[in-house]
Amino acid sequence: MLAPTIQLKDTVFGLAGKPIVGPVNLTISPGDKILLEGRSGCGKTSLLRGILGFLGKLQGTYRLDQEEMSPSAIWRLRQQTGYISQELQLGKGRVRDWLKDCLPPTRELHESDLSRFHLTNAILEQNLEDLSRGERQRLALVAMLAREPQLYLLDEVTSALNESLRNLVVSHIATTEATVLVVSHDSIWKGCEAFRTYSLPVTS
Amino acid sequence: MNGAPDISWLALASCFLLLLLPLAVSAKLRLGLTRDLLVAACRMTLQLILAGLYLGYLFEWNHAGLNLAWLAVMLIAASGSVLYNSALRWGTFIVPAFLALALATLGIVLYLNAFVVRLENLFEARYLIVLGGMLLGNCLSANIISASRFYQAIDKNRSAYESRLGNGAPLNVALRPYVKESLTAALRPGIAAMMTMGLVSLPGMMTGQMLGGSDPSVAIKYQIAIMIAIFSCTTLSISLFLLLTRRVCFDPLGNLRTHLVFKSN
Repeated sequence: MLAPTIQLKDTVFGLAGKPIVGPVNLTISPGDKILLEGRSGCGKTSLLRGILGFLGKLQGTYRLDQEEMSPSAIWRLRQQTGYISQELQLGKGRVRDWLKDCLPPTRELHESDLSRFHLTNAILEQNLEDLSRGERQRLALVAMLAREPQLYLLDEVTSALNESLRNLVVSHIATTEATVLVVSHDSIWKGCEAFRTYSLPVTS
Repeated sequence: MNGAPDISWLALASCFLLLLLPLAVSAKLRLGLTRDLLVAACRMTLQLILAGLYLGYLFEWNHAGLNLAWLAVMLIAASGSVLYNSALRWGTFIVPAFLALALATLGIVLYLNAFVVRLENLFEARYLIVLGGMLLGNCLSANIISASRFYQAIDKNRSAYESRLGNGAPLNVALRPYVKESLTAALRPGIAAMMTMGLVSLPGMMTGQMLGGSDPSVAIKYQIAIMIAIFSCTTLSISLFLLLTRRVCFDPLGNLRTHLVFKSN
């Protein structure tokens, strides 16, 4: 199933009545690839959180497939979403158990899932706490892609990767059919033709 | 009934002489505990004299409704005082805390009375109030500690929690690691206590019964029963507490309502 069309019109997201990001005017159609731009602190991360329902909508409209957003529509959207946050808090415990917890019960993990991003089976026996940031970024991508989500919300997912891995990740994501929203300070995304940019206004 | 020999008030007063020892240490080493110690000892004495009085009457009257009402008073006082000392908001948690503790304590104590002690009157004051009080006292703090741990863990790891939701986990699945953490933390001490029971120390209830003239072979059976009952009561009350507060503490999108959960500073 394709991701819904996300329509934001003069939308302001915030918490406890305090605006954090917006007003945003952006329509995201299925398959769109969008790079979010804007000064640091303008709320790029918050826009992703707002779309996922972690912030309240204070003003404007937020529609999913023409339908005003509702708790049930947001829960459906989350099921179709692969979300990787900047903090990359994956949790505790063994990588193997964590991956099993992330994947749907019918989906086995294949060696190719890992080798695609230059990881080996050895990582499965390690503890999440012992991984480097770059390893955690790639692991989060492996887990996300295996779920085959239709909407990728990616917050700084290439910041700790070297250039060749970065190219690998970007080219993989640029060619997917899924809708993609990326927050990144890496210039490599900007150079990628599949992506258009959206500049966030400074929230007053 | 041949209980323990009475202690005369004069004899008990001589017990207070033993307090001179900690008082001397406190004074000598300037621990600054003198005042607190005196206040605490006086409070304890007064409170227990009162407890002796009302328990005496309750045992004498032995009225089922009255016994239940007294248990309810203990439950309210206990949940209120423990919440007061926690990070959790009074108004949000007092009713669920009371309900969870009441259902668990009452359920387990009635089970004990019916199937283990096999009483004819399930609401017999001597058992309902005493066993109920023991269960309550033992699972109450575990309850509140595990609930505050649960909500604090979600608040502190908000990004990890949102990642779980944002990748499609339904609420109960997203909450699983936090439920697991808070329940294991609350139940571990009980397991440890059972492990060493009778080896390191003689537990209070058993000691009391033997002083009261019970045969050790009877006293241990009661001790075994109460240990298992405490453990079940803790598990049940925490699970109920989390279930009952979940509805209020999360909004329809699964976000933690921090302003309802935690006391504002």
